[in-house]
Amino acid sequence: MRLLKFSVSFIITVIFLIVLNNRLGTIPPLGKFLDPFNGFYRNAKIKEDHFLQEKLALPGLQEEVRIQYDEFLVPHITAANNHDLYYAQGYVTAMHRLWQMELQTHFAAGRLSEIFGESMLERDRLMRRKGLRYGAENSLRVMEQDPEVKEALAAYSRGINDYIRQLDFAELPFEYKLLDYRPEEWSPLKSALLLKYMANDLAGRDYDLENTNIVKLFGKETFDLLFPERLPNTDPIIPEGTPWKFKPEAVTVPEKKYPSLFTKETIAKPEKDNGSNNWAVSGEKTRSGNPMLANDPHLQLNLPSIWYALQLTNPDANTYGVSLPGAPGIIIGFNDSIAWGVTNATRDVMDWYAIRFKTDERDEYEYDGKWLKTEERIEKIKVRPGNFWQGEEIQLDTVIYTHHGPVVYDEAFPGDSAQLAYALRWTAHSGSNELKTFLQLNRAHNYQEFEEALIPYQAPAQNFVFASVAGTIAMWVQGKFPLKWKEQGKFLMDGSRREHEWQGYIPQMQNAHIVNPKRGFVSSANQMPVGSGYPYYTYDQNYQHYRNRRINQILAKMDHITLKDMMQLQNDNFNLKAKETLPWMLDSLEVEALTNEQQRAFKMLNEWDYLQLAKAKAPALYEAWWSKFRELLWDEFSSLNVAVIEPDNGATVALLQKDPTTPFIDNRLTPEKENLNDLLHTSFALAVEEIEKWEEEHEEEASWGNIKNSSIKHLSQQDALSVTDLQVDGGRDIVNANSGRHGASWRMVVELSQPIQAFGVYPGGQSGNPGSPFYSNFIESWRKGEYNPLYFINEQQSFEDKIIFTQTLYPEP
Amino acid sequence: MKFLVQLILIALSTYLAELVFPWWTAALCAFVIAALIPSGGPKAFLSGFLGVGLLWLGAALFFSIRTDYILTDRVADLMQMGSPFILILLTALIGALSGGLGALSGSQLRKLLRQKRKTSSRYHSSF
Repeated sequence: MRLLKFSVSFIITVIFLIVLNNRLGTIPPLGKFLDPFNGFYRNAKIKEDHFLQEKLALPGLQEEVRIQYDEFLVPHITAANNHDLYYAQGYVTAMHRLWQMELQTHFAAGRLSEIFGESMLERDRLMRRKGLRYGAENSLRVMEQDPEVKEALAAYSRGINDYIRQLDFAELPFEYKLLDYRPEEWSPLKSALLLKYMANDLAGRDYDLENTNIVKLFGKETFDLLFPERLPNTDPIIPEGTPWKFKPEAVTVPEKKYPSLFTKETIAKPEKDNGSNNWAVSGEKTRSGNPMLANDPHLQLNLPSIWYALQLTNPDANTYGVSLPGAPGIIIGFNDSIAWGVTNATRDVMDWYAIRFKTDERDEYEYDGKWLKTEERIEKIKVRPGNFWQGEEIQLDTVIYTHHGPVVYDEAFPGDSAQLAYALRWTAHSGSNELKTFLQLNRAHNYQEFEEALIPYQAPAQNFVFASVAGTIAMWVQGKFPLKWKEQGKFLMDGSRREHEWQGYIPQMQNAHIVNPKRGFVSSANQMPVGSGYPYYTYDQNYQHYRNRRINQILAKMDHITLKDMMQLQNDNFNLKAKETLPWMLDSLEVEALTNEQQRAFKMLNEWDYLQLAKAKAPALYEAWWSKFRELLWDEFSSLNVAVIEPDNGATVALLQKDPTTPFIDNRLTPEKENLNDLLHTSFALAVEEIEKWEEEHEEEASWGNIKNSSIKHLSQQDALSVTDLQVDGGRDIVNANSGRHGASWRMVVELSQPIQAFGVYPGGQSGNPGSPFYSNFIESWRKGEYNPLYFINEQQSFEDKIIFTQTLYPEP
Repeated sequence: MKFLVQLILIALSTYLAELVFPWWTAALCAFVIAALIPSGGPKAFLSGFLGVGLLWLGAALFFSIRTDYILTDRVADLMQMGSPFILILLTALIGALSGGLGALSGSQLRKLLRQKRKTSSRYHSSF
């Protein structure tokens, strides 16, 4: 009897402990997680908890390293050599951002299913089929041939691993406890994966297959009308009329015969709103006579933030800026002599080749009249089981590689709709050494060294803006750009024809660039890189048409510029598209015929100053009207059962100005034949109604800020770990490009004085820990368009009063 | 009195053990203490329940108040608890049940062993 009693209570106890030591569905392991001594409670920190270990012995160091933390938790690292500098960078970054670093590289490697289970399987397959890991492996080989980069990568990895190794469960980052897994060892391959993650985010989107579908549906002439390569009032990065003093490479143009195949479903694409602004003004235009530089990369806004700020000092260089957690060095920043920044240099660097296999075995494909052998890469995707008592499942996905690249589309992907095989040719697949560029930029002293630093840079192509204390400003559109004949790669290509392949690359020195232009400034905002005189084909479906013109209009007018003016321009909310469209939209309305509600809306829009402010209602009305108008205008596109895209805003406006009676205006669902005014009238009425309904439903004013409802989301997408319901000015196609989930991920302005003065802010905080006061402490300043001073410690200024803690790392004896 | 000593011993040993070992050592500590100190089943359960429960309650409150509930609020929100105090009570309850179950098993083990010893001594005496 006593044995039975004991056995029952013992077994119940053990089962209770086992169950609470594991996840149940998405519920965290309650015992482990809620344990106040080792569970999540221990991740809650006060400021002082971040400044505890004054001395730290580390096995991987060669000499002593000093880290000063300023009031914003920005580490200022001083090391005696490169090895220790990048080692310490790895160590501190891991201390603040370990979970995020690992998650982003898991994303690129197609390994999210290991953490989140089956829901991530399709996403993982896409990354693997796009060949991100294949590209990262290629890049790692190239990087490791370079002794400097190899050392930096190894030291950085070692720093991260020495941090991971001494972590006990109580100090494990919050998310590992929540999701119940542990960090694995870091490796240089993960840094390479991070760079490919960025390449995918910024250069991983194209519309070639949609273009092919549209041509097949509407004919080439209509396609050209709806999707012009160059808009009439375009304002390129390198101004129109800039002479190109080089002998261009010859491009042979073959007979243009593209495969005419419908693609029903295309793969998911990275966000369209990824973009950026940067510019530099020469000393002639500033009050102080010093050049100034500004940069704000627009990305999806997440917590922990994509950027991590720090200062890196060693005998070679003294650099301040933001880094990408997972890669050594500083990506956007400045040193004693120069400042640099980047925007995305979009261009079609992804092309698709239709592949014809000899048999269902898919071991040979047709090329140039012969059969070539394929290679097979079997992707093993580990899938976390739904319940802890089940075993891990392994999903296999076979990806066929041709000499073009991986066959992303086949009968098994995406979905099971496509019966066609398309191989992907992409610049991100080739081995490249972008890290070399950044490490060299970190210590470049002048324009020549800046130019040299850019040479190895391939993908994702960026517009590098430059300014130096010596007074030079410059802009380089840098990347590895395929040499193409007109319209090559704009559509699905024929994988069996040699002449459909890229004929090499634009020589690096012939990439578009400009140094000290007469107008006294350089700028870029993801628009067309060049004017019509550039001798190479530079097609992209997504060139920006508004932010760039607004920035150039303002910069051209500005004089006696101060850093305040630079900040103001970064936060400029003027809606140029509204200014160019709203007057004629309003003109089309017959005011007398409007209802009272509509007349009020009309009046509001008529009085609007085109400022896209969160508190204003007019921008919400305008956006609603514009989108309803687009819906009616492009209704021909919405009901198709193949993948298409609609003409973008710039092209839409250009078409209506050129041809206000285009047959697309007619709504095919109604018997009447609509004209432009009918369409504007109907869409206006619909928009006013929609806004009214919104106000009834939400019981608040339909102000732009309320409708847009901006948020900065934790990478797990959990609202509880995010900052939501933010009132943020600006919007898509506006210099202050905040469209809700996307926007300025880092704003930096730099004056190239001696010593350099700089300000910056990003929507997040230095710590990735949701339990830290440094988790989201920059968001409020960022939201209001305010900046923090960047304490650039150097011989002239020590900022001792801003340093709250100094830590010494020394080699383990 | 003995009950209070047992309760305090369970709390203290759990606190010390958890400085080094995982959360389930709470049950182990309660188990060992209850196996060493004689007490009835319900009383043993209660000593473990209160010993670990109060310890966890105190610690959860301490870490939350110290950090102004910065993370307790977020987790309560995440787990749809409505209030951080419900989360803290759940924390205490889980600790309490671990301690209670551990202590109950411990006291029953003690009884089982004593019974065995008794049976075996009776067996011996018959010779």
